[in-house]
Amino acid sequence: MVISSLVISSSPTAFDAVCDSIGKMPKIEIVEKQDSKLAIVLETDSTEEAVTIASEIQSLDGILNVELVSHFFEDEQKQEENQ
Amino acid sequence: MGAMDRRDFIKSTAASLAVSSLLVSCGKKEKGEPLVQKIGGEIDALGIKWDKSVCRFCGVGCGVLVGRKNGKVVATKGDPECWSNKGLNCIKGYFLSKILYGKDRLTTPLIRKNGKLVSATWDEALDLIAKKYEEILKRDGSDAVAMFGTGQWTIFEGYAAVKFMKAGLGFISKDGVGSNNIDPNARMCMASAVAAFMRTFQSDEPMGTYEDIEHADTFFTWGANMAEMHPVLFSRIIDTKLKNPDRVKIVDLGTQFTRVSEEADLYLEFKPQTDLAIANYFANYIIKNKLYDEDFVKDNLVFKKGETNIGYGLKDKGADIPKTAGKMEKISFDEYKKFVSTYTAKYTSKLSGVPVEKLREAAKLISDPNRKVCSYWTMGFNQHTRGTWVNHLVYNIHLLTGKIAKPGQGPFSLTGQPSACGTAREVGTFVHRLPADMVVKVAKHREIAAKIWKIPVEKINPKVGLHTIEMFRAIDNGQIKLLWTQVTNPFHSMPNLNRFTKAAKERDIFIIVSDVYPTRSTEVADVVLPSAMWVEKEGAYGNAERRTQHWNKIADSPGEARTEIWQMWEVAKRLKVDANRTVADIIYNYNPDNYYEEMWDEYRSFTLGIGKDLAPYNVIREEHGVCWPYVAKSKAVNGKKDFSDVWADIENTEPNGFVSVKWRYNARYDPYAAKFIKEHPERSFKDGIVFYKASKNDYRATVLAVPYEPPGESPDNEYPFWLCTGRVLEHWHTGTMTMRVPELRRAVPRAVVNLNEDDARKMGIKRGDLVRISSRRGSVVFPADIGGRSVPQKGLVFIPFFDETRMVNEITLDQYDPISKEPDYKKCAVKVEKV
Repeated sequence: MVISSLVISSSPTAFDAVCDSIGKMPKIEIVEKQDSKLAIVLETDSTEEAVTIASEIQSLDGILNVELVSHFFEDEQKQEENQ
Repeated sequence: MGAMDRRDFIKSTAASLAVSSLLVSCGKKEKGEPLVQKIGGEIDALGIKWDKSVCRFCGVGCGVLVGRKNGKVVATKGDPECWSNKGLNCIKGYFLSKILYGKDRLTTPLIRKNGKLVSATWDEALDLIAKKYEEILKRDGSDAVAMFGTGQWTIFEGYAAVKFMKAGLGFISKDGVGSNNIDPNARMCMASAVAAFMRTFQSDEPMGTYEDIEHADTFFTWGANMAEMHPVLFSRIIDTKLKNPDRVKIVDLGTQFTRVSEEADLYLEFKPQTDLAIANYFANYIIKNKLYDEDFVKDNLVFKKGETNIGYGLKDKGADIPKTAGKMEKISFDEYKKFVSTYTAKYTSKLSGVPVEKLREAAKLISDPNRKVCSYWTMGFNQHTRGTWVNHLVYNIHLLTGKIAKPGQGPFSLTGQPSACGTAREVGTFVHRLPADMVVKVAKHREIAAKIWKIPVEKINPKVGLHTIEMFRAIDNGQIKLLWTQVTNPFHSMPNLNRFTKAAKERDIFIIVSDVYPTRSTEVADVVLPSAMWVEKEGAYGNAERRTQHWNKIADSPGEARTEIWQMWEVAKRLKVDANRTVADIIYNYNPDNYYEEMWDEYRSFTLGIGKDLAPYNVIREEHGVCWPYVAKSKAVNGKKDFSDVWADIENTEPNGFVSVKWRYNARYDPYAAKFIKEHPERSFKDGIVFYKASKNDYRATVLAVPYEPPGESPDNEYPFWLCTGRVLEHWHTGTMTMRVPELRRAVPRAVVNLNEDDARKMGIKRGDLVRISSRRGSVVFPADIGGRSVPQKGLVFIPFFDETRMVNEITLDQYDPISKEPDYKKCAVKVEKV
């Protein structure tokens, strides 16, 4: 389990569509919406999966920026060590 | 805590951090909650101990809180108390900790035996290195050894390296002087910015801070893809635009269409090198339309013209560069006016390919007295055979209009490495420099350094050493017999690489490489030393906004990896000066258990009282980044200059009686400026701005008349394309760290060549086709990419340099700016053929 949180900025005109698209994506919880910005939490199996989702968000129409706020990866760290 | 409770706890922590950062970025909250009340030692409910640090990648200097458990990094978060990034990191933040744990970390010293690198003990490696230093210094003198460092050295490491080379080796060398052959890879990165800062203001580094972004309404980005290279800053620009979309304008000038161009209100695509003409056109427009600030010009500026036809550094030892290349001669305002009058819209349009209307529209925005303008640039300007000039030309615009050193107004040179400013520039790890903007060729500066270092002044070599390109050429021509590289990978990043790799393999040269992973440079090394990286040691970086950021050791380094300071110290211990003393006794006479503080105090003493004042050790340890000059109100605290008489006029003072200056040269924010103005009642200073460091020019900044000149190599019939190199979002520099992150390696495993769609169609090249790119230096095959994130202009191809299996630097040209000595990686001529 890897948990991370992000802030996403979109152009005001695209904001509703962006919220819609992100709302439909799996493993994402939208925790705040304001001024064409979203705060989201991702719960993924790996960092890689989180990055893939972040990149998908980045490629949506109207997205201006995707920024990382926090990243918790203790379980992944342990898994990698065990391998 | 149960598994579900733990999961919920992490999720709610992650959520509240994100909400808090969102509110800060919307401007609804000044600062995010720290969540870690006291840095160092605080363990949260998850058993994670949090400490502050700085991102290891670009030059923005984002604060990062690093969480560790059992000696390993297990979590990171953007530092809400760091003003450079206010709690946000870019996507690269996901990989910060992963760079520590690549599977092929170097964990023991390696020595080359019978052509192969084999494991060795530290004693074997260090004894061998010391023996080589001794032998070469006693036989050939200090000119025969060199060190190649980096803007990724911590401040402490850079300082220890400068002392090692410039102060220490003189005690062993047959000529009795230290070696100035120490240069950082920052030479390839921002030397042009340094040269222009010094020539314009007599003081390195910007006047403003990132906070300008929130005050400005007009942004000019010059050849800088901030959206991908400095994403956190670009997002601050976007926030400013979102808050006032009708008013705020972004103007992007570049040779390829990037994500910045996409967000820009106006995009000016110009032919490579014609930025020189465009900037001169803006100055011409300002003067012709009388949009300059007359009082500011009268009070604060001096006009000069530069030498022209200054060469390109294409011949060894700069044989094609006139001795007067850096000369500047005073002229009148009218002469300057006449000079720029050549750059009409029509002429500039013809040179640059930018339509006249677009040039006019941009000129109108940059010169509008009611607009607050910030200019940003980085490698597009600095890696330029006229890089110093083009930096000057943007200063000209801001100086003529007085849009400088004020909140939301100013030219701002961005950096590419985390401590290009803090280490390379401030410590002075360059061939010509000493700490705090001082230079080896000035006797007074050598005296100051010798006094602080407690060595005889004769030990400091007055002769400027060999700058990067000439240093590597000197390996080829036999002068350099020993090279120590630290935290950098020159046998991947040097232009015209084949020449230097061949020299490393064939010449009589002993190469020591200190690094964390195997690289193209370790492949040519005689000794490889495994280093501790980032938070595996105490350190400090200085970012582009003059902010010093300190961190404690947070994680353990693997195997026998040790810090570069320890490595140099151990070598110095083995270099015997006489029966009683070693070099280490002289240059590293610190308490081995607490040397960081002693070293900081010593280094800091270079900076006090001259407008470069660094904060004391306890302050940099406590605070989440402090901008210099960090100035105290009274003599008692600072020790050198008493500011109590001007203190009442200074904004942003802190409760402890200090100010961390946000806008240098401005009397409202900078006590040095306020004091200077008070002491010079005979002069007037428009807007309370004084360039108090520019003592050689009667404290005036220089406006420089220099023309458009073509680059060292341009496309022709045989090589009809421009080649431009650079980075991609996923990989940083030569990929030594980011290619160890499996996620990034999978996402972008190999370098590709970006082609313009029309060019590709004409040549019948499709996406994924293999394409041979050849120059006069060699040829390399890359898969083609068309219609990617960045779109090159017609006639230009872009190739990133991170990929060690296809190194674009085998075809780049070792041309450089004759003033800054910085190579131009953005322009040379190539041909493109489908394989």
